[in-house]
Amino acid sequence: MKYLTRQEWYGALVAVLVLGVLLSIASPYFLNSRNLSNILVQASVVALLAGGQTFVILTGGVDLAVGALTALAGAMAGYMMVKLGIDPYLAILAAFAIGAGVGLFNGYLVAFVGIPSFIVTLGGLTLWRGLAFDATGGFDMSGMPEPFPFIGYGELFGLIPMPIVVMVLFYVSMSFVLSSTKLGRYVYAIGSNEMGARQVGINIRWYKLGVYVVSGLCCALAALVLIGRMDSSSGKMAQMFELDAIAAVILGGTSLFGGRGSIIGSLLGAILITMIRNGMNLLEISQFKQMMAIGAVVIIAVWIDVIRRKRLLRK
Amino acid sequence: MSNQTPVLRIRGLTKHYGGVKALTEANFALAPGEHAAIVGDNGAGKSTFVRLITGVEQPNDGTICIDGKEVNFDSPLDARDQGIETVYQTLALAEDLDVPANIFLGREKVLVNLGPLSILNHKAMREESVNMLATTGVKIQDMSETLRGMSGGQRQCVAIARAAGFAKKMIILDEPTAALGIQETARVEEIIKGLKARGVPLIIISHNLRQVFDLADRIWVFRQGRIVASVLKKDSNPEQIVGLITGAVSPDNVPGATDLLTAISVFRET
Repeated sequence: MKYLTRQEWYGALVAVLVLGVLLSIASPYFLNSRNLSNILVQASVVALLAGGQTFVILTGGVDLAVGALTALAGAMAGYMMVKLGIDPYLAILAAFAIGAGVGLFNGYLVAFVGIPSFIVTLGGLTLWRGLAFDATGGFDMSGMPEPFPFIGYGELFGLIPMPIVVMVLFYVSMSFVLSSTKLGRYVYAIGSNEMGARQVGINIRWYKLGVYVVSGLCCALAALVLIGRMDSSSGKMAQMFELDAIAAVILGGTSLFGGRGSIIGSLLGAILITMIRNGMNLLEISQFKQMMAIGAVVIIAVWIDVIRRKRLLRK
Repeated sequence: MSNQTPVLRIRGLTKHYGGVKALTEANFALAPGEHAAIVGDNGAGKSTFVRLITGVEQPNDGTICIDGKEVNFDSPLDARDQGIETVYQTLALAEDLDVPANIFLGREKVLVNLGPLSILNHKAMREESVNMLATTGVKIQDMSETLRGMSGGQRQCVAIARAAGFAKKMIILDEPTAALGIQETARVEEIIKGLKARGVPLIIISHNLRQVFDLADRIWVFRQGRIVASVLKKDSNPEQIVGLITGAVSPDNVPGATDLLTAISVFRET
């Protein structure tokens, strides 16, 4: 029990359970397996983005361009398959190459040039989405070839929807990377004490660059799941997803100041955000109020983080 | 000292920043198992000296020998690889990682080497950390706790245990107790005395003369960018050291204070 309460994601777990109970009472439609499975499927894209975002935020940076990069990778892949008739697996490779390439670009500017990540990715937010529109002529593509219908709507053993399978596999491997590889350890070390990490000989520039590449690759993966779900692609996709992804990470107990947090928390955070949306839909709360609610949740989550950090520093 | 090869011998070490002479013709020697203290006023050249012998900066002139062999340090990592472990004032610890992670930070033991994705050997690092802490006499209740929950003294002890565990030749401690309370200072000093008993050579930079006289065998006095005196603790006293630091006492009036400095210089010319 002490182990549990000590975890950064403990708060998010409690929030998910409490909200689950409240929504079960408030709406008869919440607590059935169809709806719960739907929540997880809807959470999957944001969860994938939040996973990559966790790496960036743990180093003390932030990636505001994940929505735009998802759109770029997705729109390009869709355009290649539908318009140019390129083999879907080549298009998937291209999406990952775009994700990694933009990640390298961001990481280079942040780690080697020294531009704050906030600025690099704020610029990227419009730069990459603009490129997504421009490169595809602004047209929507629809009718994705296999394997996209399977990624979006297939079910493993005729039971578990594929987006959930992708999300679970992703989180299992990412939590291993974060807890048991050099990259994971140095991500925490850089976020805790960047100077100290340099003094003990960690090549912090390359590892900082690495987290943006991880985030870029996660965007590509999220884009593939998203175009599978929508059976279409366009430069408009994944609008504002960066907000949900960052909110999921922060709600999951990862500190915006870096160094503290966990990837499991981000999964719980993504589920929490989706539950809030799902619950408000079931309770027929208007879209406008939903926008306000999500924004408020983000501010409150950061507020809690700031208070927690002050308390830790005082210790 | 005369018939033993020093662990560290430095001749004519010089560092100028443009016209500013931060360190001029410094001669220094550390005998096997010896604990040396470096004292001096602010700006006397202590920090420059430490930066040069830990590879943070490179000298304009002079030589550094370890066990009689001349070495060049291109970087702090280089100095570390050649056996000099440094505990910086800032400690270079990651507060959000636990004790074994900090001890092995930057030199993790791995099960499979895959570059950045190398898989860590948690078990081996934990076991060796327990050993290192035990050898150095550092007591940590919960190894899996992050350093954030620990006191400054405990953190300092972890940093020293890390240095002691990895040091092949010697340890350099930069103001190890500057930020600590009385009790914690005492604990850190016990650890340093333990290193003395084990014969680990050590250089300590300290402003605290009580501490210097408690811990060091030999005291090196820096003044205005030069090493002006080197005295054995047993032949000296705090008033004399203060005099040497401020310039009120001339090194020439202290018997033997310049012997080692000139001996090294003479050796250099031959």
